Amino acid sequence: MKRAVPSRKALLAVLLLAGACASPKTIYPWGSYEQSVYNVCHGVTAADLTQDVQLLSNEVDRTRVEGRKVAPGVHAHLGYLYFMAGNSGAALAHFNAEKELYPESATFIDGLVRRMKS
Amino acid sequence: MSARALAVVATLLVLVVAAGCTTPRDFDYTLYLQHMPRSILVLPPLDDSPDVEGTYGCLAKVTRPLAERGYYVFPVAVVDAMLRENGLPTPGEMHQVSLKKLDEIFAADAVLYLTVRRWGTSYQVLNSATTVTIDGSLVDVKSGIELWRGSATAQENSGGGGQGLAGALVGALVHQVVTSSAETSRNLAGTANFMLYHDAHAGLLEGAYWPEYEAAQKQRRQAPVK
Repeated sequence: MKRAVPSRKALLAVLLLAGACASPKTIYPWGSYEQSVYNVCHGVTAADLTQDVQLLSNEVDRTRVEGRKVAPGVHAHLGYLYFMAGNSGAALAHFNAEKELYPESATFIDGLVRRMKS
Repeated sequence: MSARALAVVATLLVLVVAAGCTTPRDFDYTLYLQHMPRSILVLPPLDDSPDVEGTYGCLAKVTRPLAERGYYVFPVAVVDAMLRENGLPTPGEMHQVSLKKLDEIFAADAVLYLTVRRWGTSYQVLNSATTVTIDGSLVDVKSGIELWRGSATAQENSGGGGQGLAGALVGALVHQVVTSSAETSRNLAGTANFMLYHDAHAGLLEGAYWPEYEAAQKQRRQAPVK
C-alpha cells in the first residue's frame, strides 16, 4: 500500500500539469469587441456602426450586471463609436467610464475629450 | 505492473507533459522586471507579407491576449484613428513617432511594436497552408530600453490524406475558396498573439491585472539571474 502513494501523487501532477496547459480562465468577457475593432479600422459603415454600438452597449450592461469588469479599451472604443454616430453625450459618459475603471488611460482620454470639444 | 514501475511511468509522464507545454530556455527578464509596465500602447503592426490584411487583421486580435496577460491595453482602433487623423496614415509612419511624443499623448508605460512577417494561405498542389507569423518588441517609453522581444507562428493545414488525388485537389481548392484565407488568417493571428504573450518562458511577464500578480512577481524576481 505504501508504495502506491508516490504513483498516485505523480498521476495527480500529470493531471494538474495537463490542466495548466489547457484553456486558461479569462479575466474579462470579450463579446464583439475584436470584431468591432476590425470594422472600425476598415472604415465602418453607418449600418455597422449602429449594430456595433447596440451589441457593445448591451454587452457592457450585461458585464456590469454580472459584476465582472469591463475589458481595457472597451468603454473608450464604445465612446468613440458614439462620437462617430453623433451622440457626444454618450461618448463622454463612456470616455469617463474608461478613465474611472483604468486610471492609466487618463492622459489619453483627456486629450480625446479636448479634441472632441474643439 | 508493480507500484514502483507505475510510479516511474507516472513520473516520466510528468516530465513529458511538462516539456510539452514549455520552451527550453527562459527569456532574460532582468530589464523587464526593472521597468515593469502596467499599460501597453499597441501601434498598428507593420506588414511584411504581401497581403494587405495583415496590419488590421492582426491589430484586431492583439488586445484580448495582451489584456488577459494582465495589462491595460489602450483602445487600438481609437489610437489608430487618432494617429491617422493627425497626419500619420500608415503603420510605418506611426512607428517613427518619438517615444517622447507618444508619452505626451498616451502616457503609456510601454509601446508594443509588432511586425507581421507572414500572413495568408499558400496553395500547393495537394494542400493549402495558412500561416501567420508575428514578431513583437516591447519598449519602455521613459527610458527607450527594449524590455522584451519575441516571435510566434500559427499554422493551419488543409487537404491531404485518404480521399485520393482528386479528392485532395478539390479539398485544397474548396478550403482556399470557402475560407478565402481571410477569416482563417485572422483566427490564426489570435492564436499567434496568444502564443507570443502567454508562453510561460519566453512570453510577457504577468501584468498588474493578472489575478495572482503579486505571487507571479515574487516568483519571477526570485528566479536565478542568468
